[in-house]
Amino acid sequence: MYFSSKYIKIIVFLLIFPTIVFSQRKVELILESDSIEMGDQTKLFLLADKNAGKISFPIFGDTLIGNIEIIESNLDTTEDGKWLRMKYLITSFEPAIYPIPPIPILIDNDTLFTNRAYLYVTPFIPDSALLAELDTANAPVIFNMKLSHFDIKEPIDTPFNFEEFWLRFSLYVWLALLVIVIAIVLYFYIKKRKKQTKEVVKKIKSKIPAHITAVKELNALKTRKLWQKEETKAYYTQLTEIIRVYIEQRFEVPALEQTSHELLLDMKAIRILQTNELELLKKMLKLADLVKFAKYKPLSNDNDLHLKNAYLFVENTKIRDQRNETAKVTENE
Amino acid sequence: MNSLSVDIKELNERIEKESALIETITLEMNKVIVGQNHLVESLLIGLLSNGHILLEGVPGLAKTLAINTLSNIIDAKFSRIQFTPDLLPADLLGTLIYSQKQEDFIMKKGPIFANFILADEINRSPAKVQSALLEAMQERQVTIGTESFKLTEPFLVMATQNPIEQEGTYPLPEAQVDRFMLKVIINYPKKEEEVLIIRQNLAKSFPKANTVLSTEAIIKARQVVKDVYMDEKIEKYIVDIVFATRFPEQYDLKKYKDLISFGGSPRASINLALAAKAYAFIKRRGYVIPEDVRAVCHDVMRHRIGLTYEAEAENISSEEIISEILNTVEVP
Repeated sequence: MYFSSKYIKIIVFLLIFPTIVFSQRKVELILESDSIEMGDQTKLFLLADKNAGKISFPIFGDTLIGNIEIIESNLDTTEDGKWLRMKYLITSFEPAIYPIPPIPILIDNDTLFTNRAYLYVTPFIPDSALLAELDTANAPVIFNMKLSHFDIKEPIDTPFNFEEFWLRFSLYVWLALLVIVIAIVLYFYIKKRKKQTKEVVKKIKSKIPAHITAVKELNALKTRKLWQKEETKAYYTQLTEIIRVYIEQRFEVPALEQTSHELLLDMKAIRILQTNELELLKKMLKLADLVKFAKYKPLSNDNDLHLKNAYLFVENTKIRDQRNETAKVTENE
Repeated sequence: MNSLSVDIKELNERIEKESALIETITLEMNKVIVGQNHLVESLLIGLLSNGHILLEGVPGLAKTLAINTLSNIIDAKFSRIQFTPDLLPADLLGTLIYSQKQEDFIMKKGPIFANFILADEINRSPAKVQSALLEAMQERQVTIGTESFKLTEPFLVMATQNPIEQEGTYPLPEAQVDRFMLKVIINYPKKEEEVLIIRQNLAKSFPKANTVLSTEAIIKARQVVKDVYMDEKIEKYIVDIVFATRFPEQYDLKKYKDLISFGGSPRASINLALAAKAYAFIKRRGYVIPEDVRAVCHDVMRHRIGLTYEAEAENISSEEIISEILNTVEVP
């Protein structure tokens, strides 16, 4: 009984002692993971008792020890009981077992040392399929593993991916489509509007038939008695202008902008006029040109004759179903 | 009885008589030149209205032959000057040379002292040579040293420009181009004309035009051309055409407003009137009709309309603008 109680006491002591010792430590070093693959990262924490005094963590450059590099370091402010934590993100590219020695932390004027730790950096282990392709005969042995040196990989051939394109440029595509649609709508709108305007002008123009206007104008010219007042030039100018305007409206030939010769050629080309009508027009225009441009003085009979010829020309060439209307206008005038 | 007023009747008769020389010239020209009626007509217009002609056409279209033949027909002196980049004004006008025999400077007249000058490829020479020629054309006199020499009348310059080779050329400035009364574009002959040309050139002897006129006859004809009657309606028509090149928007040609950088000058109006009179004379008429104005309008106006970059970008030529103006301006 005595023996057993003695052993129980020893066992209890042994169990409690480390806890007492541990609980009394004021600084500590903890590794998030003590084994990493080369190039991988892990966190190293330096802990110090908040209540121990004024704490100064050591300042490292970019290397912790040997081939262990520090990527970043910062004070971890997350609440962790009595501990103040300094966090270091570390990595290594050389496979080895790195003993991390006790790190000194200054608390007030005392330098306290953390516990020792080991970081085990394992080499990169390619998958078996890749290893099968490599010549591993002369490969170096690292951590009992035979590796081979191999060339840098070729650039990865990434085929065109519509989804990727669409994600990146869809906004521009939509904008371009919108602009095209607006342009098409505008084009048709302007075209339609122009057409409507033209139709309106045409309708207004065609309200009064050309021959009715011409006959009215000829009547007015007759009443002005220009040639009787020795104004022969003005008489022929107005006479030919009435006929030219009539031709322009009736046959849609730009008669006002054409010379007599060009007009006669055009009238001949459209083959609407009979030979005698063409002859009437030719005589009238030729004589008018002489009067207008060569001081020609025709006889009074000629003046009358050409006015009658003008009436005749209009009568013979007007649009058939409107002939009755012309007769009415002539009678009324 | 129909009657022309006295002056026009008399003028018509006079022109009928005087313009007979046109038939003579045309007949002789046609012996040598096949086709190219427009070129021959333009030469006559220039000759009769005391103007100069700028010809544009590819080589081998009988430009030299035409003016040479004209000088033969009229018994006039002809000079052909090939313009090159190293030509000097003295090569053209003449210079003073020291004579050891006379122990004095003597005058050596240049090829400009002729009645008909063919200035071949005028744009190949630098500006100073072009200026020397154009000054002589305008002033009709040449100053060498301290002495001025009048050029003999008739004095007609026909300058050529090659439209296909522009490298290494000195384009004529607008102000100098304006001094040419006409700018004539020569085109290739028709098929049947070309067949005749081949036959003519392969024959044993090349036809030769006879000398049938004197320079005095031309000077006299020029006076008659000046008397050709031009009604005020025609004058107004000419002014309208020239104004339409300056202010197209006033003539329903707003679309050309931004395409024309400058329109015809008053010299354009003068030359259009003169050329129309000459054309009426060639057609043996004592008065000008709108057809005459339209017939010469392209040749008189095409080099007097300045086009903007927009016009060049849109491929719009002065030809197109002139045609549109003629189709828009109301004929009297």
